[in-house]
Amino acid sequence: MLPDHITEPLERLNSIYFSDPGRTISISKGEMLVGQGEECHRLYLILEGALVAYREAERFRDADLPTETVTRKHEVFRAGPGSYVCVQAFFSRVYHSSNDIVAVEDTRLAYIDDTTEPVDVEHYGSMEHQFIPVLMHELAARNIRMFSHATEKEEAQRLLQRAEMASTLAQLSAGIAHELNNAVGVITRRTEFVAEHMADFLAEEDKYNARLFRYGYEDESFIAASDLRKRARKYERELNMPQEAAKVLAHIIPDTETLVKFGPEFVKHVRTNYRFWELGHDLRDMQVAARHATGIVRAVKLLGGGNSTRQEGVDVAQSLSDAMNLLGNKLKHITVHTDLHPMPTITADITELVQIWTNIIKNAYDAMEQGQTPDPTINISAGISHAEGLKLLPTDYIRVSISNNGPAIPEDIHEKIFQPNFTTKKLGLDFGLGLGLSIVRRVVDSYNGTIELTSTDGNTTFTINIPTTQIYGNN
Amino acid sequence: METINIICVDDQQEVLDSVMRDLRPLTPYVRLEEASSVEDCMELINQIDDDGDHIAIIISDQVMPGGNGTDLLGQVTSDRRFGKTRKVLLTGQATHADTINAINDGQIDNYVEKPWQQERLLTIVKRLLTLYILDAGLDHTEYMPVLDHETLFKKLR
Repeated sequence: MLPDHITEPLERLNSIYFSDPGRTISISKGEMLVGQGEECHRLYLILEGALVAYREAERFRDADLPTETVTRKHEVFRAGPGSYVCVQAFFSRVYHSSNDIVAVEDTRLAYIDDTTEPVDVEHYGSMEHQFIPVLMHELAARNIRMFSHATEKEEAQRLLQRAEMASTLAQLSAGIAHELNNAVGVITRRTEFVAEHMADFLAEEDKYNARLFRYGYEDESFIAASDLRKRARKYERELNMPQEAAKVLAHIIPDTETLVKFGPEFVKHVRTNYRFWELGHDLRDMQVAARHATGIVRAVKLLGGGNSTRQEGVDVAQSLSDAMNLLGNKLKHITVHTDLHPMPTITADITELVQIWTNIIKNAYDAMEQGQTPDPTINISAGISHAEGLKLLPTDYIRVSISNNGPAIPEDIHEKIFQPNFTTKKLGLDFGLGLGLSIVRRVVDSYNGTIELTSTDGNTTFTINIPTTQIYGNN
Repeated sequence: METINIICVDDQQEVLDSVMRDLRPLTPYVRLEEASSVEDCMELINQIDDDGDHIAIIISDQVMPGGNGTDLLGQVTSDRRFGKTRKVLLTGQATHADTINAINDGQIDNYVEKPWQQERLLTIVKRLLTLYILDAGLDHTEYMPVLDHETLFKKLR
């Protein structure tokens, strides 16, 4: 916006010099008002419509280029009603346009030319003097234009730099991921191998040791450290056991009733041979750690982005069932309701979609487990939704809602949970890097989608909207 | 012989298990206890203190949900009951500021970075245990196998 002290005197000039209906012209959309280098003795005021000015870069004009080369023209400015055009050519008396000026819509212009006489010279001075406000207007407009060009350029450079960093990270992470996956693969596979052989070997030697080993290897109990400690202390005192043995027993046996079921023979065996349980548990921890490493590698790879391959005809319902299959083991103790409506296929990378759903579902699972939610339930619904009234945005969206009946996510961390390194998880090795939801946001953003989150105690819902058609060229 | 406790605090059970295993050579002479959070540790040390037992060393992780290691060690430091307790920060994630706080407010005796080596951890713990036993006026001859003889020699000279 231009300041008032510039625009007010312009009104006088416009009404005196640019109100002669005989000195107006109309040009239609796409037509050229004047070409670069062409003669122009007029000063125009845009009454309605809009113009754009292009200029061929100097270095191309004078360079010795083959004739068929397409000369590049750069947009210099766009102007609408109230703006003056050909100001420099007119007042410098060069009378040649420095730009191609083309109508972007049907445009009506009023003009004066070099024969126009000044009005009321006594009071307002010479033509040049009277038109100082127009020149000021032009100067101010150019100043604004330059500034916005400078900031745009800076922003563009910043984005470019970020894109370069991201692509370097993507290349690096792909390489690291490959190497690490191989190494971790060896650990995972061999641990399994050692465990199997150990189990077979023990089964032949001593059935109690074999049992202890198996309990340790297959241990899936998530007990809070404080509960485990209390339980172990109880066994240590009541059964007069060494501390380490009592701890192992506390892992295997939750209460007195179960203790009776296992019998005194077993307890006696634990007292002396608890190390077999520990051995099994060590192998289990190694596998958990290896799986965790694999997960981190995958997360880093996805954060780095880069190798997403999007294809047409991707079925969102399929990606949801893939996600549930992947999480199969975890969802064993949870009720899952699905409500899938018919949806069109979309252009997407199915592994990215699976990544979105698994992260959200896994978070729901972890939150419910950590909150010890009774009757843990996850509801997944998917369908199509329409957004109206937003001209520039896509109208059709795939809408997937994933809700759980766990504890509420406090309002003040609704934004934070999407940031990398933010986590509320605390159980087991699956503690997470806090990358899950930041990946979800990244991927959803890359599809120009949105994430909504509503959360009250007993109902936390993540809703993902992904446009069915992707707009390209806007990233 | 008095009951002397060494407490390890970490929110990851697997880490706790590993530290416990590494410190097991000390067990005939000291009790190893574990806690999963600041709150859990406070409950534990109150209980141990109620039982009239010693807390020689607290080894704490830094980044834990519900309060970090520096907070915990600071609380322990300002509690007169645990004036002689030695403190170790065992972490892979402490920031520069965390470390400064741990030294100034938590008055830690040692800082061990994850991943740690058993031998080094044992050496540090033995040294701190020796200092605690001497400070607390316990009969060090009962604990000879788990004491750091160099420290003992220096102190008793």
